[in-house]
Amino acid sequence: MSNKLLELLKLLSEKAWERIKDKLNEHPEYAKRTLLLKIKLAKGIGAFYLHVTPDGVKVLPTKPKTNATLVVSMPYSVFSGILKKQIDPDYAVSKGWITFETKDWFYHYTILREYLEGMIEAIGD
Amino acid sequence: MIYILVHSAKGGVGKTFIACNLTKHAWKKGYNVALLDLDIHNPCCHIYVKPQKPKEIEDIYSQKLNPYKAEDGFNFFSLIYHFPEYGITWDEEMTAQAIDVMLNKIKWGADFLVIDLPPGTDRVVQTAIRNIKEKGKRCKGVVVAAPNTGAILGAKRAIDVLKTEGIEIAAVVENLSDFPLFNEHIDDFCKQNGYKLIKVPCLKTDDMASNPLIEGFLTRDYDWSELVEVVFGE
Repeated sequence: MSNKLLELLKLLSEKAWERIKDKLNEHPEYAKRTLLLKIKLAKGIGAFYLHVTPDGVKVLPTKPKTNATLVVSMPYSVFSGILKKQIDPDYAVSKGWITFETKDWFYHYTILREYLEGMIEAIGD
Repeated sequence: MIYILVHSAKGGVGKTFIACNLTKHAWKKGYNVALLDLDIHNPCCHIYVKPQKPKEIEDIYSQKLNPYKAEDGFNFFSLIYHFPEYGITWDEEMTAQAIDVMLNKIKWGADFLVIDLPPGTDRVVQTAIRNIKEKGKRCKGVVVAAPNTGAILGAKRAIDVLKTEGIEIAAVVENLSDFPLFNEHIDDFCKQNGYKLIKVPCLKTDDMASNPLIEGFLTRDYDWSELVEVVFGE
């Protein structure tokens, strides 16, 4: 994966984080939860990870050691479609394009929604 | 909480209509009841109960999702607000987890939960029944039929599934019981097997357009009390 893409994602993630952190801070319990997004690259050439914690977002080339509340996995094409507003996140979940590796996904799903919406808004800036 | 499963193996017999009206009329009679639309592939209860979104999606202190409020005031939940018009194509694990959250992580605050099950006897129905039974909760079945061969078969199959799982059949409801084009009835089967049969005629509902061809046989003032008492009374 190119450094440019990593840099861009880092920038977007930081902006997305700025947008959601106030909302999360209103609810201390809610803000304790963490999100790990695994973005799978085409043709099985690997993946990168977005780790959202109360301290911010990190873009990582390898899977971090974490007990994230919600671990989500999706192909890069779906992730990029969501950011370009070509795919509604709810639609991607309904079709099973976004999969969840942690239990109670439906309960914690709001975290993912908030984060993706934050990223989409950040792109609009 | 006691779970009331509204079921039939046949689609289109009126499970949703009966489940919504059963909940509405039980609520009006003073029972603390809520409604869950578990027909995850084609949820439609919202059409009948006209719910309002909760202010917050989640109650963080109880770590549960807040239910929606039906027009009449009872609590309600459906997937319609997460996946409005999308066809769900989840695998077994994702489906089972969503069902588990809907059954156990909604702040129901009710003594009874009426569950509108999807048609069929497959994965969603089995997962829901087993989830409830594993937690040792009490369950009752309300099986919906209509006066035609396919619907009666669907009712018998639903009864078979519920009985296999050890669930008591509180009532068999024959919906559209006076529909003039249908003439097969489930009366004998219920009599032979000792099931309480409640007949619900073709009803004239508020949102139904006026049609002189059918106006004549539509019942306007059906009394739901008998069904409510049979299902909710001890």
